[in-house]
Amino acid sequence: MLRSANTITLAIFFFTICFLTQAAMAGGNVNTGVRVIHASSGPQFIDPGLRDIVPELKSVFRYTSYRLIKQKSMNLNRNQQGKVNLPGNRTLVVTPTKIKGKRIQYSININKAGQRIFNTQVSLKNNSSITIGGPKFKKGYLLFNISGRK
Amino acid sequence: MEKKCSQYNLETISAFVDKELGPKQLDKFACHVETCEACRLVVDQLQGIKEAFKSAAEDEMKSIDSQVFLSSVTAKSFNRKPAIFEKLKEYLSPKPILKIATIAVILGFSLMYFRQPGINGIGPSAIVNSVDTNMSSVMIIETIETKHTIIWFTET
Repeated sequence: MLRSANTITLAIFFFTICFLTQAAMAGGNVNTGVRVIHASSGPQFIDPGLRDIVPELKSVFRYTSYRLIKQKSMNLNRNQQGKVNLPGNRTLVVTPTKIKGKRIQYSININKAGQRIFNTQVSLKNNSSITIGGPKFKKGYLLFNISGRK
Repeated sequence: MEKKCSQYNLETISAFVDKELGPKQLDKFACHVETCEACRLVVDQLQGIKEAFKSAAEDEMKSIDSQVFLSSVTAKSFNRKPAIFEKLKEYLSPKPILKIATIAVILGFSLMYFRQPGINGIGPSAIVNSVDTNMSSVMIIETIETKHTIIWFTET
């Protein structure tokens, strides 16, 4: 009788641990990284700091040069804005808005001369990244690689 | 030797004593019992038994203290453990392997509960929920190998 009670107590304990871990993870900070990349068709060059992402980009784009022009790492709370100044009077604003399971929901804004020109809401896989590109810069294009880790 | 009525059986006579016969049958049997000695004898015996039971039950009821009885029933009701726990304990206690299986099932359900869809699967690195821009075109690309998500917009 007593052993059965212990078994049930143990099971409840495990369930509580799972629940508390989940709750603790849901409320924690989000380590957000932003890499600003200049992609162009100039002389072949791959920045050492971009080795992890360039093969992915090369599978889609035909650019030959990938230069890391800025890198910023931010520890953001939920709904806390992280700002990164970009070339061409642009600003990138990333805000983790929600953590659901193993995905982090971000609101990503690109502003130009104080005006919002682009906004997206994405659910980023934990320890993963998304790349946003398009703005022209110095005979090439700017790419923003945003990563999140909780 | 005891006489036996050929018209009515013991069941009907018992129903008569318990006043369970219908009005028509009751009148008919009441007339019959006046003339049938065998039936009257059975009726007298059954009524005697009935009376004896009734008085014995009344005596027993008089001896019970209603307050004591009520408090005893209430105490038993409160002390009684839920049947489901009792059954679960009976089920678990003699078989250790079942304990392990039960824990495994509970843990399995816990993990299923806390697990979100698409966590370990080969989903995209990012799910694009919405895009809002004044730009002329937006493309959402997913790379083949690692399912890396790329959003490309053309700045005008």
